[in-house]
Amino acid sequence: MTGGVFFTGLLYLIPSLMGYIWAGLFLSFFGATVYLIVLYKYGKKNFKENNSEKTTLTFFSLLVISSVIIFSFDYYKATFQRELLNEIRVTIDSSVIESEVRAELLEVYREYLQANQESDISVTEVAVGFFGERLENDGKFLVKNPELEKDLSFLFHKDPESDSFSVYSVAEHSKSMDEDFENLDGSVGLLQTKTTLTNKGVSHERQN
Amino acid sequence: MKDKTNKWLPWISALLIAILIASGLSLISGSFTSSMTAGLFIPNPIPSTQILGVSVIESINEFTGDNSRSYYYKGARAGITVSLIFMFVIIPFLYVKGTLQSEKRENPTAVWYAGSALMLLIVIMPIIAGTIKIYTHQYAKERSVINITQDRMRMELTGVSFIVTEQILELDDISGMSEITADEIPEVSNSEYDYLFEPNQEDSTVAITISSDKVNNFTATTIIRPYSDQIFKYQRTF
Repeated sequence: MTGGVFFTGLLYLIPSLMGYIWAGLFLSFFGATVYLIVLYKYGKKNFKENNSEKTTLTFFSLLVISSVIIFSFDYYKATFQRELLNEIRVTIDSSVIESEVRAELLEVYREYLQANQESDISVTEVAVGFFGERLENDGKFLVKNPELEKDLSFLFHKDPESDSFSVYSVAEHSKSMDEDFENLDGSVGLLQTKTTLTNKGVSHERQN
Repeated sequence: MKDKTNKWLPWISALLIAILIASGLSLISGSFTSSMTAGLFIPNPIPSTQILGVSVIESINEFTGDNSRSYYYKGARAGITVSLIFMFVIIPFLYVKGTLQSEKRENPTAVWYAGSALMLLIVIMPIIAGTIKIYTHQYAKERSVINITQDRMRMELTGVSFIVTEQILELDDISGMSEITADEIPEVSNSEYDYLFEPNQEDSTVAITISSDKVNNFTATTIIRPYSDQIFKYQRTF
């Protein structure tokens, strides 16, 4: 029994101490199955009645089979819930980014269309005038609602040559499609969108 | 007949003891329902349920942006280790030892009763719990698919609202909305959902409604006000 306690306990504790709780469970289960086989063989050798041997085999088999099924199902459920929560987070962040940033650039576009009727002016000039101090020297774009900057970061890029003004938005808690994607703010694998204003309108695309 | 009754009587007693233990465990865990994490510390005949609990809390932390591992992780780890040792080592050992003792004395001993009751408990409980879990998960999965589809519809509606706003601004006339057809907006003509455009020239607004009978007739509407400070907003969602 001491061997069993040692095997089962340690095989769970070592991976779980490293943060791999599910790996720990399955390793521990493997150790426990070995222990159950040894225990069954010990019982078989010492049981006097044939029935005791059969009942023990039935119990141990049921224990192993039902554990495999329920452990696997719980692992699947944990993975499903993790992915679902991440998808919800991505959806919320995408919606917030589009509603905020695209709406702001659309306001600039509206101003550009009005200003362009009176004089020949570029989109970049209108955008710079519209946002003013909200365009910081290090490329950071300050959105209307500062609360959003807790979870999202915004960077701008103006290109006078092609007369375009872009805002890149990165969601700090939304893991996205490409895990190796290098985000503009230095992070890796996070949701990033690009909203671009040109003299033809506003386009919005998800880059990761 | 009498012999048969005598043969099954110890097993019936063991089953009753198992039910009593299960009720006791359920009562203990029930009294901790006010605390979300307390259940993780109590030894459980289904240790993966405890690990699932830890995983869920970790996923919620990731969702909210909290990447720290809290105190309960350590506590739960201890609880899970104890559960695994009980379930796979101590209880099977008690059962085998009890059976050997009973054979020797030709009568069920206290160790046999304890071992058999606990053995029945750890074999039956996962089967019952597993069946309930699969059923409830299936329902939750169906609900989440509907919710995700509704979120996607809202997102698509937002995109279309921006496109239509842009077109009205370019035409510089809300009455031009009647000239805009679904064919001109690929996002609408290629969509698997239904759209309804309702321009209102009196207050210079356009209502765009998205709907689908695939998700319980869900509809969402945006009111576009191209010439106001707030260009558009969601009016209602059912």
